[in-house]
Amino acid sequence: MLIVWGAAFAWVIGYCSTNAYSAAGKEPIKLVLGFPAWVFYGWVIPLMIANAITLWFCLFFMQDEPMEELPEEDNV
Amino acid sequence: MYSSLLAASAGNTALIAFTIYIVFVFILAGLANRKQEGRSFMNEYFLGSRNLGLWAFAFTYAATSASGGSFMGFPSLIYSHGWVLALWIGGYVVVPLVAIGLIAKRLNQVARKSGSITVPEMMRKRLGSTTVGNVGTTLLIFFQFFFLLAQFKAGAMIMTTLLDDVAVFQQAVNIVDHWTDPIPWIGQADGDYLICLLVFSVSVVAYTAWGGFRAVVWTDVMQGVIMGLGVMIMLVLALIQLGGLGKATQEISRQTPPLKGKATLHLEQKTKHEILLKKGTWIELTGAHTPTHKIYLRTSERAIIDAKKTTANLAEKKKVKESKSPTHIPIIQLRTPVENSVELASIKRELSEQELPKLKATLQGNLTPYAFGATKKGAYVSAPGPHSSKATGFLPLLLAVCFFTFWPFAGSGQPSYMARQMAFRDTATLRHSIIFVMVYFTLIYFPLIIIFTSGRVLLPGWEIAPDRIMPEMATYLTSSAGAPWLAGLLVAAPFAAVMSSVDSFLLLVSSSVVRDVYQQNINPDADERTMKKISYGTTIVIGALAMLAMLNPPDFLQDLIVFGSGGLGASFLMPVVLTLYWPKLTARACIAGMISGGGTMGALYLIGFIVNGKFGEYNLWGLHPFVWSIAISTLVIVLVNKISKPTDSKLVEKFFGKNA
Repeated sequence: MLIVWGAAFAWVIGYCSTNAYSAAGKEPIKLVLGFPAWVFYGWVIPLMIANAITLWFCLFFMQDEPMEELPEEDNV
Repeated sequence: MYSSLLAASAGNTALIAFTIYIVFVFILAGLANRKQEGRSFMNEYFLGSRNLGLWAFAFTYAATSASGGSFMGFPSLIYSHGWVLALWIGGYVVVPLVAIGLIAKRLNQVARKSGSITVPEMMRKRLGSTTVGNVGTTLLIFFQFFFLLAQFKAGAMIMTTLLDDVAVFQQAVNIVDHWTDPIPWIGQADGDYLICLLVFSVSVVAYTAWGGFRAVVWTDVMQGVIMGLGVMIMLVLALIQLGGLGKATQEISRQTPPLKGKATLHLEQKTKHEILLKKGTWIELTGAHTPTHKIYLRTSERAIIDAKKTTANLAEKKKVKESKSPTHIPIIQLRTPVENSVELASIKRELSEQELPKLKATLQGNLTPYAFGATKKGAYVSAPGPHSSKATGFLPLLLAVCFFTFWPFAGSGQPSYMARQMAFRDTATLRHSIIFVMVYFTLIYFPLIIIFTSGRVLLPGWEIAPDRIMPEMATYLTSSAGAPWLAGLLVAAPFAAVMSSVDSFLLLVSSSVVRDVYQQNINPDADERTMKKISYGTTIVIGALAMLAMLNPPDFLQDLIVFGSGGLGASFLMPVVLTLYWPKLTARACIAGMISGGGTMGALYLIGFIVNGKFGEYNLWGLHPFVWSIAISTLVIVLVNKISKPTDSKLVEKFFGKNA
């Protein structure tokens, strides 16, 4: 999980630091599907990939474990 | 006339929608209350018998995290600073995975094994030390209370905006103002705020106390549905009215930030009646247009022109007293490029709806540009985003790095989410919930950015009061789509967000008081009935306290929220994670970690207060206090762990198995 975070971090911050901060002043602005180009590559794409990883993780990776019964006497 | 009628009908629909909403909430609370019978009271009231199914768990998690900030503060930030907010919120792409996946499963197991209900209790039992529990409780209550305060104010504020145009409400405001004026402390607050605060507090406290955890979860589900629906509808409406996202982005890329300044306003002809110029009145600067830009002014204070006079004065008496020249009305100046057809059409439309006699404006003194991005084309579609007072822009790279860390980790450090994670039924529920939360976050935050960057084009000039952009957009989008009744539903969304956060926190704070303070230290042998009374009592008392404290609210709402949640994250993240996963952790180290984390946060805010003269954080070397707090807390834990004596090996065996 921390690896995923690290990868996302590297991508978003890495990509945006070079592209987002230099995007001003260029005309015409580059658009991808109506988003500013850096938003599309620096945010939309990693968002989708992170979602895909989450999906995979939850559906196939994580094991079900039986939860233990509550020790009742502890509860009042 | 048309616009005021529209506003009034939108106000009334909002009132009706709101009433229906509250009634539903109470029905749910009643049902939850009946379900409590015959179950262990403490477990049921505070954790819903640890039996949350998929939908309840996922929604309650998502709704709790989508607080007032997401629907009031966040849109206003998007509106003011543009697309850079995508980078600001960038860390959210991994939030569901990191925040829930990191600790939920283990937390739930440990909590079950130890039979704990609150986070400090879990730590106390795992480490076998009462002091851990007590320190945890103190920090929890301290920071959580700040957070709660902010939410109370947000709730009351949203209601004020909602009910602004309802006639009955205005009458009530006058009466309340009249009554409370002589009373010190209370009298200083505005009548409309007082009423809303009272209604808001009473209803939230009532249903929380009555229904307990189950009611909170059920209402969270309903509130989550409302929020999701509201955002989706707004997205569709906005895109239709813009003619596509690409067109909007093009227009925004040509925008430059407005200039701030002052101007005197004159009527060309005297009138018999006084004329009230609302905050946000548009004035066309005739003769000042260049071939590439059209120039408009917008007032950012209310002004008034007395009968048979021609010059406008500031309308609020307090402001007149403070100002040396009350005829100088604060304004902002917009320079709209002529290619921006949608934006120009929006301004023209608002100009024509004003129905004022012709006004002439003369600028007084110099106009102040934004400190960053002032004349930069494309400032709104690039990082670091324009800022009116910070010369480095809205989001310098280092801060972006900090926020990327802040969202996932501060999120997982919140005890209110941890309490949620102690309550799910089995791991299958957990797995599906993460997916659900992921989809939900994507469906909320993604459209919000699109909607409110587009807001710059559809409703330009709201720099005068960016916090109101959410209700304004809701009203505008629905009424121009010919369905003003929808506004009621849309405006209920932020309200639902605040309510669903308040109820969880209220319950969290009172569960800490009852379980960790009362049952631990005062009267461990209290029977079921006493516990019941005390639980109801604390929930109500804490709600009442928060309400009293917020009668005269501080201005720094957003700072309060960040301080509260950051403080909680700083105090609990590392200690809890290590409590769960590190067998060798000692009680001393855990205590030291909590105190140093929370303490660093407090200290950096204190320095901020001394340096800046107002409540706010101090970004040492450009890094947010949260990053510092986590670093120091981790360091302290590891160091203290080396020198303190290890935890009882029986306890370690109980939670980690024999091999640990």
